[in-house]
Amino acid sequence: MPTPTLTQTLVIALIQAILVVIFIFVIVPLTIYAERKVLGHIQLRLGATRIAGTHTGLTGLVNRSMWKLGKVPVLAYWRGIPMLVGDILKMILKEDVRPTKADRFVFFLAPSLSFVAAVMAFAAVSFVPGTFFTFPKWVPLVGGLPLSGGMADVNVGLLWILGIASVGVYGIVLAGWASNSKYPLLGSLRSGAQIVSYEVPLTLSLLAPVLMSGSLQFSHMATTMATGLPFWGIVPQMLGFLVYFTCGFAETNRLPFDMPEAENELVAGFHTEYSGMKFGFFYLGEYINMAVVSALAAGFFLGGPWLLPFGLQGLVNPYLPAWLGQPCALFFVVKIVLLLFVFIWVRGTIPRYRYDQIMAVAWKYLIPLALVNLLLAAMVRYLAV
Amino acid sequence: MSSPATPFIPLLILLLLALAVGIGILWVSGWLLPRFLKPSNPQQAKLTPYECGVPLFQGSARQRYGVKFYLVAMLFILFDVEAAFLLPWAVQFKSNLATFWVMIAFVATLLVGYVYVWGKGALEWER
Amino acid sequence: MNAMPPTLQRDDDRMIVNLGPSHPSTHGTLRLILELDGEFVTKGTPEIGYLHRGVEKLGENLSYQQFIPLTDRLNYCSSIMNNVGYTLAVEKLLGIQDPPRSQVIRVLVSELSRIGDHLVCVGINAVDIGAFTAFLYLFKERETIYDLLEMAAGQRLHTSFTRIGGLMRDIPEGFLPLLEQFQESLPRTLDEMEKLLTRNPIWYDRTKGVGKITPEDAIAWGYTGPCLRAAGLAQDLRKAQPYLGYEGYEFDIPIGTTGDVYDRYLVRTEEMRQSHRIIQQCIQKLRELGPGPVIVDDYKVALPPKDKVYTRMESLIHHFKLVMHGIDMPVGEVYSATEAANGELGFYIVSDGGKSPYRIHVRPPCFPIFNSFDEQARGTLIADAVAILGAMNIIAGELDR
Repeated sequence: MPTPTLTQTLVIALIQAILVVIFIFVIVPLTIYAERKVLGHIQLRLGATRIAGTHTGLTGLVNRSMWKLGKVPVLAYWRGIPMLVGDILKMILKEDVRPTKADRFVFFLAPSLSFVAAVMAFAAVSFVPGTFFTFPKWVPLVGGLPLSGGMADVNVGLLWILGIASVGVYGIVLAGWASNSKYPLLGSLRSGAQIVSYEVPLTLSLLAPVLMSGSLQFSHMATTMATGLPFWGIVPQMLGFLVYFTCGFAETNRLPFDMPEAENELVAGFHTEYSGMKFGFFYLGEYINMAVVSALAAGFFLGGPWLLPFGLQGLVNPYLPAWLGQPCALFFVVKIVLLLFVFIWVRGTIPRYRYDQIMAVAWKYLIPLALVNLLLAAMVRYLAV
Repeated sequence: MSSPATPFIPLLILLLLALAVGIGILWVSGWLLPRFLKPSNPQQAKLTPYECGVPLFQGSARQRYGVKFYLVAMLFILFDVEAAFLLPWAVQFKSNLATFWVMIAFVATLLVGYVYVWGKGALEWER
Repeated sequence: MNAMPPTLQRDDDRMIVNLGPSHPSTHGTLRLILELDGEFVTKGTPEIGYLHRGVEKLGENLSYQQFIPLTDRLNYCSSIMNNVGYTLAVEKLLGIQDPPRSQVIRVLVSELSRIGDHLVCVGINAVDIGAFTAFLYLFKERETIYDLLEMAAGQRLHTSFTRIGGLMRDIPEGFLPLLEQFQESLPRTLDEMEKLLTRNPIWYDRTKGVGKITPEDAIAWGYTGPCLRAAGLAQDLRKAQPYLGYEGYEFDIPIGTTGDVYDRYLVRTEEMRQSHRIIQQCIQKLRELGPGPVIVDDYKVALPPKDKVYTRMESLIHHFKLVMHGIDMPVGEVYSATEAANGELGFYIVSDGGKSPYRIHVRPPCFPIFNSFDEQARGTLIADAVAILGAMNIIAGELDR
């Protein structure tokens, strides 16, 4: 395999970056749509079924003219899927209101930070170890070169993700401060303390996979956790997985830990004063973070891009078609989607914790549990060898 | 073209791209579109901070707030440093099993502090 | 702009936060001014009057019949119980009693709307605590209740179902079959809700011990209804001073022990099951009674039927007199109380013998309960204050009148 030149590296990196951004902009609206529908069906309703039931605006015009032509405006109704577009259009086209008392620069900075940090965290996630595909020979400039399965499968991948995830807190805290309003301030304070608190058990619970694989590189960890053991990582690391996933809910501000935006207490929390696309960036950031949390869980605990659990993969490999036996990005995405479903499912089932209880869960239960889990993993490792 | 920094080039590119996308969208929706499509109708009442529908009565929201939040921040730093210390240990653990006892000792020391903090009531969310 | 009196202006660390009038957790238009120290509430000042419509004053210029639609607007979650409470007060003043069939139907619809009210209260409380799903499960049943009320009264929310001396009309055909369907599905829904909430550790942690009150304090504040019973006192006007033949129904009064939000939730849930039991007996009684009049046969109180008005001179005169002059009321005053969903709903009516009452006073159950908000919320977290507010079941319509 030829060593790529600097230009070629840059071009490949750019292609990868664009792919990551496209992936994000595909999966986030789909998650939002899925949340509407799944939550709706959990709650005995239908979720979104149409856009623009009204007679005003652009879509209303389309609707009315189609009815006039004697046709059901299918495009506007089809199971609410047009909502995907409607959401984005709404956010972009809504009036931007910036309170006069708000800090102009920070008010703008906070949502951008939130969004950029979430996207950057996604970068270290590797969809499939090794090469994703090789560019055909006829492609100019990069023909014959491989595109790796991870955007930036760096050797400190996990550290990068954790570090960048911490940057995301700034977005929320700064948003609360910049708004210069009480509800956002209270929301952002809560959120700052909450996210910071849950970062400790989150890191500790992820240390066990690190310890078992002896690496911080995402693809290496995923490979070891899926194939290095006779079973998936979730079997020896059940406790670790539960601690990790709980922290994941708290880190992404989802129910039952949606304190910062607990609407019945603080109106809308840290984004009370935000509107339009600035609000949209917080929204996007939350869903990207959910995808990142799910990706880590899928990678380390649920066998990453491998198909079958519990050592079955090795047993049945000879009988499977070749492509089913190989790690495949599709399996990884499916696992992410399943975990995203769990996020929505939990939201439809559980009430919200109170603030002091949230802090107690983090400091009194999850940290000791995560430490115990880590020590157990180390002990097994120590005694096994 | 192969150096330890090579894998990080995509990160840099992505950072630039994310910034471009982020700022681009905000620019389009915040500056370009208002000129054509978006409503832009600022009014005095609309631009005041949300106060549940009554006139604003405390001038600025930037007041002093509970010292408890600082305590959480300090505890976080302590425990995050611990986690940061555990990370390289976890990576190297495979090749150097003897560090197990060292780390047990370290974590035990930390646990003493943890128990002390708990006993002092710093983990309780009280006034 | 300065909307706060200077005494409330603080320069220490406390932050003053408004809960309402336009806030997601104030269901209705009411306002709470919370003083916060960090996350803790150090003072909660209730402010009322955002929905004041002068109902009592309006009553002084309306005839006795005309006041009934205004009672709908008191507790709009269970408006029929207000109708019943008011007409019972007027009937007490007149010294008449409505026919037995009307009594059974009044009990039936009252218990239906009691279930409806409790469904709203428990559901809204759940929403405030973040359990949106339970809320929507409950609202499915509430839809059926409103369908039933619509069949009976022609209106879903503002029913105006009763008349002085009876009912507007008999329940229509098709009412009982739908009611029986509802009777089957309600326990299932309640079971489902209880699966979601009662033994849910988060729900338990959020509500247990929040908003505790002793029976003595509860009485001193003037608590009635589920909030008082949750505190441990088996006080229920349906048993204490039965009206509408409640002594003929078998039902139990659930009581709590601590008066906290969890107990209030449990008491309300059990009360729904007891109401379900009462409705079952109502259906039985309706079957036994068979068809019959639902309004008194006294044309000085109730309008004569239309076919008589169109064919008989005497009835026409009665109709004219009743519509133009109203009922001939005796001079006197009366206080009559019923057990509404929230507690004791009292109507105090002073009559000077004229067409309109001299004075009408409504004793809404949630007004005294709301008074105690400060004491209940002091020292709790914001989230608790919201849970307490939800469990108090403040209905702004009857609070401000």
